[in-house]
Amino acid sequence: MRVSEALTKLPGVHRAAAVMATPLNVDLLTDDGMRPDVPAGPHDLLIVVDGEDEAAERALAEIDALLAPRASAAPVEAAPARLVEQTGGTLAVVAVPGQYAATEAYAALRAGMHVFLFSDNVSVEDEARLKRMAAERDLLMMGPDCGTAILDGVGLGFANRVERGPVGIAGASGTGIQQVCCLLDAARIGVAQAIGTGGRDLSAAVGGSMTRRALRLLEEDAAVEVVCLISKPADPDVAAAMHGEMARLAKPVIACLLGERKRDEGSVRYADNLTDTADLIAETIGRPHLREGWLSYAHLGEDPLVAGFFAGGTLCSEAGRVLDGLGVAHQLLDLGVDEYTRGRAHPIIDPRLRLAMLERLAVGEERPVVLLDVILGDLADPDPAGSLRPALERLRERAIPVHAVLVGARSDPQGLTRQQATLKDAGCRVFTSNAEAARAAGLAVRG
Amino acid sequence: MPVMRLPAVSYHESVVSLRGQLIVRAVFHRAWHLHASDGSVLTVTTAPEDGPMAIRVGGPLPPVAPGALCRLREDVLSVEQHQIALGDARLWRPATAGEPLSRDGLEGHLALLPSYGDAHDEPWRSRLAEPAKALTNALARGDRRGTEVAAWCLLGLGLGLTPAGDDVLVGLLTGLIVLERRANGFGADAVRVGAALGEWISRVAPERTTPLSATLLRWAARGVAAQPLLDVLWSLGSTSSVRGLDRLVAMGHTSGRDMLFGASLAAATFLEREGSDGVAMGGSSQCVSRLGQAHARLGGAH
Repeated sequence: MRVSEALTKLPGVHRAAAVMATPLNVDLLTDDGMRPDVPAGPHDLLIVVDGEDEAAERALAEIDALLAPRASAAPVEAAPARLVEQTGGTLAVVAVPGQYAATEAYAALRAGMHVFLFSDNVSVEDEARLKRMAAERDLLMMGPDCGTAILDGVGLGFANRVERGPVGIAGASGTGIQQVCCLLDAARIGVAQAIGTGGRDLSAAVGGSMTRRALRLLEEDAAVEVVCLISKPADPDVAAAMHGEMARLAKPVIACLLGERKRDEGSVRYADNLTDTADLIAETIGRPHLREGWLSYAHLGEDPLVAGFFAGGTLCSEAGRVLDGLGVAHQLLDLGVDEYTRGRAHPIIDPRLRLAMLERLAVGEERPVVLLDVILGDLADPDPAGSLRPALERLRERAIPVHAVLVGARSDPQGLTRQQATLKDAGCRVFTSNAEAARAAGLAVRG
Repeated sequence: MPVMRLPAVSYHESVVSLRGQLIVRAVFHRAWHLHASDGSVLTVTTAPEDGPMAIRVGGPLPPVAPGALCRLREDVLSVEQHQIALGDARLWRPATAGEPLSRDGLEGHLALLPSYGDAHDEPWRSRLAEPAKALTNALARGDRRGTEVAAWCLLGLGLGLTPAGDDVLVGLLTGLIVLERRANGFGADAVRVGAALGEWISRVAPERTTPLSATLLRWAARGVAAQPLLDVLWSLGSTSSVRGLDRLVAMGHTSGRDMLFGASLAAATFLEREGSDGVAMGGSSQCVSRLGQAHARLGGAH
């Protein structure tokens, strides 16, 4: 189907089909006046192009390339020990289906490499074992389900193109890291390191082993002036242990553990959401920030519910807390969790599941206030606002208000201002702070 | 060339009964298709899901030449210089029993399936509309000849190595069989129609569609299909949620969605035929409506 679609898009091609030559398919091609004059049977792949002569010839010349395996999917032999020997590489990025991911990560650790494990659907038992093994070898085991890291200016996974600067982040939350990095970017504050640890690192089963190691590395990094810890809701005992770790650091620490109340405890300042985290960082390093540019909202009506469709799990959790604080009913979906990503790409890459849900909402009877995130950066959908636009326009036709948080840095490849313009053209209210987007959506419901 | 030994992750129990030489007929970067002397197709695949006549391997597949001969002997499949070792692999035996079917649960789940029908604009799919509608009408009437005529018009229809029409039929046949196994006796009429259709399709498919599709259809007629489809069918109409939907719709380009369409037709048919036995409520107008909804939901057929 990929071949048919690609051929049809070529200039000068009117129609194209790449089908197995079953009797029925051949009959249908004949009915369409595309009967090929070649003997073919159900074993054969039949490729037929109808177009201007030269265009058709050009299209046929493209076929071998279209049928060839895509470069990213080509079989490669990736024995980590050999790669280390040949390249001197010190870090392995593992992004394979979950059932194979742990095996690859073990091999990389055994070869002495740090691991960025992007895959999800890895068992928590494997995660704990991998992190123990990494600790024994003095290596970083970032993940599993580690969405984002920025190491010495190099982004891994879903990373935004931010400048280097004085902030060091350890995060058990990919989109949490992205949100803070992007808010800092808007205030012209750069990031020295952002070490992802995987969303379950501060769970009781894993015990925060990688967060502990990341905090120590940030303490040792001379470029880091302020340390920041971000996490989804943490296990209370693990959170208490992490407080001890943070309090021992000589550098100021801003912590955002969703669910923890805002407070100062010695050198550790707890923020109550991701936007507040960026605020406190800016305050700590004495830079004016641009908070007033982060929000603009108005009351929109009396809709009864906020319906959220999130690609970022931490953003989803944070929005839920903001709405709970306002006493507003909500139904928020984190489309990045394992049950939605098994067998398909993460929603930051593949918009189709969310599009289908928004399309369904556009033809349904409910009229909620919609809240969603649009995440930019390397590896993300090359035009996420453009992908969402048809569904957003249908929602606008039904007068369903949409609040979107745009998580992006000024240098991201999708173009921050272009994405913002597309969302606004499609009728969205656009925010760069997730907490403010949620608050605006909640106030729109309350009226 | 060095011998490359690939451990298999799992394999379908049917694989062990294959005897004699096989021939490599198609090579993709994620699968080899090996043809057996009886016309069936053995798939060696890196896909994450088990399926009929398939051996799953964990690593990337090396390239092999189409036309190469291969042989399965003593738990080792030899293909050129490569050896796929089955010895430590898990034997995949699809479930044959599960939670009993509940009519209310089935109706409730059927209503929820639309959420998995992504918008899809593909001209060849529109050709499914007429025969799929004819098939659902014939099933609703219990018209055996009518089902055969309609299935004839779906076999081998559409894009893909398993043409879309075949995927719909796989979902339908597997659905009728699995639902019957869970139904504790009711819906026998639907089963009779489905069993006869399955037998007929198994017989005619080799001439009407690709060898891979014909193989999958033959197994579907016995209630065996890719694990995500089985997960859906074994949980559809139970008191818990439907399992495997996301994995099913993620299969292939549109294969998973087409199979789900077929499965929803089976469920709708099953409810209607069960009603027509007088065991539970149901009527022809409900049937037409229910089948029409199933159509519109996933196939865009009207």
